[in-house]
Amino acid sequence: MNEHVKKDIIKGVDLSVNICGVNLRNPVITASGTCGCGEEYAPWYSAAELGAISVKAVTLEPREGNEVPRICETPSGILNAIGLQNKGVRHFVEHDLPRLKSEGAVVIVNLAGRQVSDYAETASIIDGTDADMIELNISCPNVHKGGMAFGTDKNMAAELVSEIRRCTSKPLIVKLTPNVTDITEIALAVETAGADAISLINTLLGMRIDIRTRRPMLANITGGLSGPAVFPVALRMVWQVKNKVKIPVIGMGGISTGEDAVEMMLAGADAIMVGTAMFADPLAPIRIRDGIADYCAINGLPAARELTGGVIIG
Amino acid sequence: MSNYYPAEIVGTAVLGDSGVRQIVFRSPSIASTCSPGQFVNIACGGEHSSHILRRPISIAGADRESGCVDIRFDIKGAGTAWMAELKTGELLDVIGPLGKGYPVEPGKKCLVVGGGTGIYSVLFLAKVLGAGCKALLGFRNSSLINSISDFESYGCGLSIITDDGSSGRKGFVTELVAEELDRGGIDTVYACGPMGMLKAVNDIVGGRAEYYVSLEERMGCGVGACMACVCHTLVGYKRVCADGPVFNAVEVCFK
Ligand SMILES: Cc1cc2nc3c(=O)[nH]c(=O)nc-3n(C[C@H](O)[C@H](O)[C@H](O)COP(=O)(O)OP(=O)(O)OC[C@H]3O[C@@H](n4cnc5c(N)ncnc54)[C@H](O)[C@@H]3O)c2cc1C
Ligand SMILES: Cc1cc2nc3c(=O)[nH]c(=O)nc-3n(C[C@H](O)[C@H](O)[C@H](O)COP(=O)(O)O)c2cc1C
Repeated sequence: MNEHVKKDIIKGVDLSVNICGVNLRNPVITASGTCGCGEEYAPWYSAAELGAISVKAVTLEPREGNEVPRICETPSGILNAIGLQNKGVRHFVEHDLPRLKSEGAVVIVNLAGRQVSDYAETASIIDGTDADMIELNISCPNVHKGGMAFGTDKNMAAELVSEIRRCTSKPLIVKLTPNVTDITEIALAVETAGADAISLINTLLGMRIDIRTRRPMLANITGGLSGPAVFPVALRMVWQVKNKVKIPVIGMGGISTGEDAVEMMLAGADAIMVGTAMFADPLAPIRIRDGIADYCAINGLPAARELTGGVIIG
Repeated sequence: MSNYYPAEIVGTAVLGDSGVRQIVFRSPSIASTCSPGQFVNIACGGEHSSHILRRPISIAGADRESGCVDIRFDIKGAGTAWMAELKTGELLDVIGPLGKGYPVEPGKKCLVVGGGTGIYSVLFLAKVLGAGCKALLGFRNSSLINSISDFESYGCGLSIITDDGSSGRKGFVTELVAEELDRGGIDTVYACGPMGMLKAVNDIVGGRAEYYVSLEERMGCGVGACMACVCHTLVGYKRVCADGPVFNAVEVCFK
């Protein structure tokens, strides 16, 4: 075995997973947009302790994002409409990526754009770096151009994925939106177009009104719902997609405990992402990692990867 | 560096007629590292809570020796209502200290200006500045007045004004700021309160003194990662939770 390949063995359980040839020391990845580029959570854990970190979406040019308020609380969830605020791919490549790589993190670059050409140019720039994987974000509900528009039309999704496929030899994850009638249609289309893996779900489009002022709670009027409230929807979609595609599936949406992660893997996830749970508990990714190990140890599973698709139907 | 562990509540109180709540909790690591203007982020609702977001509350005081931290808050919604029911001996799930506080330079003559819930953040500042500052506080009416004896005990000068004149002078705190500045000799003004007040004070200061403001915005992570709580500055959006909540007013774009 390559000595650089890190495996977390906790309570005798091998937690490592392999996603499109990339070794993750454990199946827990922090979800794009909820952990920045890892720095802010350094008081609690290093990005290198995670399976991987999916960084805040990068775009070709810097993006200002939406007006405030950008966030509000909902029962067991939150709505957000950040609007992809970021400093642009060049800033990321110069400042954040080298730091993350020198710390030893596995880095997934979440990539967003307005049109095929700027997605493609951004992907080409990332291709020339030592980032580990690209996660193509065709699912952001909070921008008015691009974003989710690509993820809700199977032809547009396939066209974009095949174009990006030509720009990079890095493992290409495509992140899907749940705001569609049939998610398996989109999943199959992006698999055929050359995706190496699928991640899901991005946030569910939602809205709240402050009845005192009669105004929407978010400046953007609508926003994306995440957190425990969406977990059953996410789980159902991961299960549906896993039954249709052959490529690895990364499951997310409302995971906040080790038990949730186990459930998501049983539904078919090869790895999982944790987002909103960190807002309540900054240590959530570590707690979830340890929770997966606990479950496996108690149930006599030697490796966490054996959970994947283990749901018993019928 | 931020800490995260349950802190034991060592005292609670209702302050004055206004129903303002005070919680004192023991957290030696927060008490020994925090400075005025910083805040803590409190989880509400207990285990299995449906409240996903922590509530940001300013540090109103801290004592290194006893390791105690003082917070004061108004009951606004479900989160603060839940916090108001907490009792001595219970545990508070708290992260902090967070954010960047008020820059303090020794030997300066300062005004600390507070309006509404903003007075709790400048209370800690008044403690540190002591006789080097004068506190100017605005309340809507006399029933909302609280924490005055604490300001007095720190040896700072104190003026109070109410919107309706039910206690002290009638008018807005901005009038007091204008009078103090006109008198001259003020090096620095610090303010925490509603955006309208911060902006009005900015117009009055007009470059005659250094001016620092503490901003409020709805927060997600509270540690600078999620980009939810941003404010407009001359160099684009900055994060209230991590780059602030205290900003030099020259860089803030007041709406
Ligand atoms: C840096 C900072 C320091 C603060 N310090 C104090 C303090 O010392 N004392 C005090 O009484 N209040 C303070 N506040 C305001 C306090 O955070 C809110 O009153 C509180 O979050 C309301 O929560 P709730 O569940 O009772 O109300 P709800 O209205 O039910 O809250 C719903 C959501 O909106 C958020 N929210 C509501 N009002 C505000 C607000 N004004 N600012 C930011 N988020 C808000 C809540 O955190 C929660 O996520 C501070 C706010 C900030 C940003
Ligand atoms: C504040 C915030 C910002 C987000 N930003 C992005 C983003 O930039 N790119 C992306 O693909 N997903 C983004 N997401 C979606 C999350 O990565 C994740 O798909 C979703 O929140 C569901 O997982 P969770 O319930 O664990 O948070 C964001 C979510 C939140 C809450």
